[in-house]
Amino acid sequence: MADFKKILKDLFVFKEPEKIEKFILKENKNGCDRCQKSGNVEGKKTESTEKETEKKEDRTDENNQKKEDSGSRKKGVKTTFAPIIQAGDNSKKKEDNSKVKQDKITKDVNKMSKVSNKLADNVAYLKNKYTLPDNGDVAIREFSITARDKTISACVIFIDGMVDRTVMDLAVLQPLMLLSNIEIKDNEQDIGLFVKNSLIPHNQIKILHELGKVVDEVNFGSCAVFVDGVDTAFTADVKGWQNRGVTNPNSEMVIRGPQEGFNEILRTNTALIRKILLDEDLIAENLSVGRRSKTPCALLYIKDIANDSLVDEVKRRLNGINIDYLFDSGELEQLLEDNSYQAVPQIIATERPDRVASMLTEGKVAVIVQGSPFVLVMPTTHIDLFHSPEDSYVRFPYANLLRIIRITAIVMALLLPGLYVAITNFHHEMIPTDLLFAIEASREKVPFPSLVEILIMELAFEFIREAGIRIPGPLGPTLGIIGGLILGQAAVAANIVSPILIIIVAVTGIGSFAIPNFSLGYAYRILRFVYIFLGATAGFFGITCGLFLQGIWLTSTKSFGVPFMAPMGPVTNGELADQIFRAPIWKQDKRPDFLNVKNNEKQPKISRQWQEDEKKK
Amino acid sequence: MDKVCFGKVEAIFIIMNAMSIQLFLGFTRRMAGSGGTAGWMIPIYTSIIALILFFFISKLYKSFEGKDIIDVAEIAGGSFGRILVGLIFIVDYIFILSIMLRIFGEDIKIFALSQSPLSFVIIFFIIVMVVASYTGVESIVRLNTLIMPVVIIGFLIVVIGNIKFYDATNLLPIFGDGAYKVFIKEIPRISIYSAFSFIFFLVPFIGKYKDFKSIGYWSLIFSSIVLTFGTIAYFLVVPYPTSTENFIPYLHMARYVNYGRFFQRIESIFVLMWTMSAFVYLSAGKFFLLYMIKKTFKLKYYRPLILPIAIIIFTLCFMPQSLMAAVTLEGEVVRRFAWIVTFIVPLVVLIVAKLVNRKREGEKSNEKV
Amino acid sequence: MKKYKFFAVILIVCLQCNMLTGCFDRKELDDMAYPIALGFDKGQTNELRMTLQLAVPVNIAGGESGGDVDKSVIVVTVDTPTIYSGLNMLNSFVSKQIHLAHIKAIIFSEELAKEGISKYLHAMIRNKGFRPNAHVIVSRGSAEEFIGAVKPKLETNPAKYYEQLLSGYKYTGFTTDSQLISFYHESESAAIQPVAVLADVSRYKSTEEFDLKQSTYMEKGRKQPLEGDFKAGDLPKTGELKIEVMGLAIFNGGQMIGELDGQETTYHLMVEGKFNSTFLTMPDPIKSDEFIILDVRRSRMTKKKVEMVNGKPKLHAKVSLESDILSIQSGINYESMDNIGKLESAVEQFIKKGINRYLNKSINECGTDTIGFGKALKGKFLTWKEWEEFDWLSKYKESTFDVEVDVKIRRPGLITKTVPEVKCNKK
Repeated sequence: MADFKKILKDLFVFKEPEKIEKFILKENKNGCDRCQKSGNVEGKKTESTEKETEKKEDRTDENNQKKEDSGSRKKGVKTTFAPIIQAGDNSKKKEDNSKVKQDKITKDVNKMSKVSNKLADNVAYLKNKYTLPDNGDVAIREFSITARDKTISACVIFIDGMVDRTVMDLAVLQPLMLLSNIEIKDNEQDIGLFVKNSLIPHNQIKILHELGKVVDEVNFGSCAVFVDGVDTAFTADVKGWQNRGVTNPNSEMVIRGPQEGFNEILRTNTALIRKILLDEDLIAENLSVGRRSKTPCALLYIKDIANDSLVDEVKRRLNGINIDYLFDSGELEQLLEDNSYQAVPQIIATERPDRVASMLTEGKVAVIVQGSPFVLVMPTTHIDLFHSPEDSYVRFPYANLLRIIRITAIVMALLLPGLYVAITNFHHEMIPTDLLFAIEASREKVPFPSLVEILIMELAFEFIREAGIRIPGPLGPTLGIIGGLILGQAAVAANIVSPILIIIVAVTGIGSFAIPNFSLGYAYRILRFVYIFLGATAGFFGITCGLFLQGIWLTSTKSFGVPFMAPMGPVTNGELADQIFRAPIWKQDKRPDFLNVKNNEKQPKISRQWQEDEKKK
Repeated sequence: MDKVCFGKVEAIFIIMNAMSIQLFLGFTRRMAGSGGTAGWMIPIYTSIIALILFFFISKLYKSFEGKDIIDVAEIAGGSFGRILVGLIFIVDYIFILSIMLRIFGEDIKIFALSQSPLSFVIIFFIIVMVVASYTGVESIVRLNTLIMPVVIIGFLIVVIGNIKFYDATNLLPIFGDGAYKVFIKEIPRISIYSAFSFIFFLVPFIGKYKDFKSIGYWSLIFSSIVLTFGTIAYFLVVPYPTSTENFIPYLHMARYVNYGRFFQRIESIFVLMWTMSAFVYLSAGKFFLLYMIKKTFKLKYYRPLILPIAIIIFTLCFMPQSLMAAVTLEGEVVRRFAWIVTFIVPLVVLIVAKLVNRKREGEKSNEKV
Repeated sequence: MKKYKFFAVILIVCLQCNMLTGCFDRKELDDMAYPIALGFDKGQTNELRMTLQLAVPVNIAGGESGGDVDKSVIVVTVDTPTIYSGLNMLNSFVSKQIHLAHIKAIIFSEELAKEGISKYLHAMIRNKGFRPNAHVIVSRGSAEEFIGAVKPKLETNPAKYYEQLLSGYKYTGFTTDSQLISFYHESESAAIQPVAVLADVSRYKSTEEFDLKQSTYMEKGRKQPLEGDFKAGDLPKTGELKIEVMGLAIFNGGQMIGELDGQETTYHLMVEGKFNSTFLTMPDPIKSDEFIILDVRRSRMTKKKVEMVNGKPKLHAKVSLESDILSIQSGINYESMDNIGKLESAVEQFIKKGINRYLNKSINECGTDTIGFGKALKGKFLTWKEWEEFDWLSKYKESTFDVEVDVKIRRPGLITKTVPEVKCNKK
């Protein structure tokens, strides 16, 4: 009975809502506490703010202490994952004794920028920097080197999962730990040089003085060796992460042509391009983009073909990007391009090394981003977006046929629904009489005006397309097609749409799949809707207006200084050998002129010397 | 500073487009009205007269390379000369642009969008003109180079598709309304080439100044060929005097194209192509108008003027009461007097400027001595 | 934020313009009714009687009901002062708006044509809706009856029926391609007069009613009519297809003044130069009660020349034809090199006689130039005024003519000579 009353009371009497505390992000007034502790903030600020940070250090020492305590409380959970935190733990157990000492160390460590002679300082700095008991996959291994009857302590730091453990064991730890006592005939007195020259038999060693750089190297998969008494650190490049191998390119399929595609590793990608070009003039400059992520990028160009000002401009833009993290070349593309609101892409992103190589030989510049299989090539013109990688590999007649079909498909993908709406709503006299009666008969039972009909079908098609991407496995594409057919058939049977509309929407969709460049496909999908509306407003006149406005928009765009509709927009001097239709390979003498390359001739006028020799015979 | 400049081919195309656009309006009808069956001779011999005039102009222009006509007017008469010449051209351009805009809009209304109010149709033109003026003359000229082949192909399809209606006897009797009337009375018809005044404002944009002469000659020759050819094609199909009835001759010709049961009544596609040409003409005209105003009154920017001038032209184009009034206005006023503005004014200005220059040089050499 | 509001408002306005189904010119396909043929009669209660043949697309295209042809068209008639007032009246009871863009045939009755049709032609040319290649047909009876009798059996679509029926000029030679626009140009021209297709509803309901009273073979001095000696409506035929197209109606400006029968039409086409091909039947030169049938085609354009002799025009025409042999009933071996000359000259004589008879008729009965000799004369004048003052069309009546025909026989078909049949001897 009491329960019943309680229930009624709960229902009818107003109660204050319970305080459910959700996680609220604290606002950063003093800067984030964790950052203070590990010194990351200082590391990224300029020198002018160092004084401020010193003051903040004093205030936050107590915070640091609390964090250390909480860290040790969590220690129990983490020991299974972080087996080598012994060093860190040891320092914490001595808290009570060496609190003062620790303060001093933290103070010092935060100020350190160069590798110090003392190993302990270095280790403390590293633990501070990597938040060591919390950060589970960073490992520090301390060991001792016996060289010339002296025992020196040393440590190696690496990130588990990013290094090849076998190589590290064999090439770094084993020689230093075991073989260092072998009689070495060298008379070197300096331990550091001795270690580098003779004791670490690895193919890429860097000697670094600055701790910041050491940290960067370790972040990217190297291991760093610190030796007590030596004020330099040695980093060995032992990258050995798991990655996808070199497989078929996913988005650009060809029948005739190489089937290799880029993968996510920078060095593999540059190697794939170098494998094709074999040219010592091919320069691959290293840059890093992103303040925190320091994503390595490579800028490729051929030195004596590409225009210097183009290369400088690309470099200037890349260096002027001020973001925290860079994830993919897609983001880099949006940061580099001239006009983000333009529907059409101004940079080509491709997955095929042979395509990048051929564009480099034309005088373009490529940017590879670590972690993305799409390589950016710039500058580009609108005609380049219509080229498919296979065009150069097949013979002259087929290549031109393919180009004609592709251009027709692209024009239809853009204009066909708009033209249909314009013709059936405004220009009835254009339709042949038989077709007119067929359309009208089928439209008689449809309740919607034709504009609404076509919008429904287009939207349905876009839904199917978007959904088809996310269906896993082999079912994906099949379901998309079947879904489209069944949907269309059912819609016709239900008298929602007329049958001729299904054909139009299907042809449009297929045409948009024929667009070789992915981004351009998206662009034309958007513009198609604009043309439908224009066609419904003013018929052919509206479509002409739209075409003109789009033409103006395109011709006023520049992609890295190259007008977008070259070589026909501004009529350039160069040859039209490979723009719309392709001349046979032995006729393509010159590079396109609008890139202002240094060396214009690709091949001499007679590139088939064997024919000339035959004639002379 | 990057100077906007374009090449010879593009300059020729844009002037040719401006002069040939009237072929798609009532040009051939007027030729039939003036000359009877000999109307096709009018474009030819007026172009010869225009070429002679241009010869003199280009000779005088040699010492003023790189300056457009307003700068030359400044040299000739100081600020007063500059403003006077500028105002003449501005009034001329505003007048022509608003009439042409009205005629284009009405033509579209006649056969495509007959129920829509006129302002609805003209708004499209105005929007295109405004957007194109914002992006500058570079993109207009580049787009024109892309569009010209399409328009020419459309024109050729109409001309070739009418072959089965060609009847050579429609061009007889040879001298139509009489040699006197055709050759002497219709000399003011040189206003056909009144759009040639574009070239005087194009001069600063041309890459190499030596191209000025060849641009002038080639554009005149090409457009006279196109106009003559187009007029002959029309006369072959429609006999005189029926040819003076048709309001938009090429529209009628497009309607006659008939091959089998499928390829019929395709005039709407040709509308598409002609409208593109009209857009380019209007956008280029508006840009040069703004450029003129900027130069005449020594303004720093021309962009703030785009919308106001668009509104002025929009309002002016509604002033004629009906399409017939607009066409009469164009036929009588523009085509009879525009040649003065296009050819005579630059000649006078150049002669005066040359005299002033010589006088100045004379003074300078006097001073030196 | 203000910027976004502005754009949002514009976007909404634009979308509304499109979604509402009344955006000025936007007319849905199924909001319109499409007439296929238009008929004009002299009205009883008013000036004009307009008949419209409207297509019913649901029945044309939908094949489920078996495509019953009677239901694929609807015929409506009004009495009205002019064309467009008629359309207004029709719109008041036809549920969809009438759209003129698919009219394939315009039919005038003979009565109305004799009064003059220029005013209607001007109205039709001025409107953007009429197709310039619609056919102009003159019906010997009333247009309403004509349209009511159109029941195509071989097609479901009556528009296709018209187009195909009226393109028979390419292979029969009994009619011509009279498009609205050529008719209009010729009616305003000072060098040539227009002609229109002559058509009618077949008169005979069963084969017992056949008679030859209306045929013109007796005037031509023949014992039995050849296939072209009829005008439309008089053909001895029965059957379900009731419309006959044979012969031409001759106009003076916009007024009808005469008719030609089928064979005269063929000769008219030959002299004018628009002839394409036909099957020509002529009596055998040697055995005159048997026939020779040839497939005659035009080989060159007819050469026309006009000379002024003593102020009277003298017309020269040279007709060039070529032909294949289709049938030699008598079995005489005309294909051999000796006899082919005889056949050719016989054909030439036959055709020349026919053309002369036709030209005489055109000068005496009709009195105007429908063939276009004036065009050949135009070049002799220097200015238009002189040509106008010359007034060729009136001078035509005084002309004499001189026609040459040149026929070449090219191929004998699949057989090169006829071996006579062998019969058994009954004795």
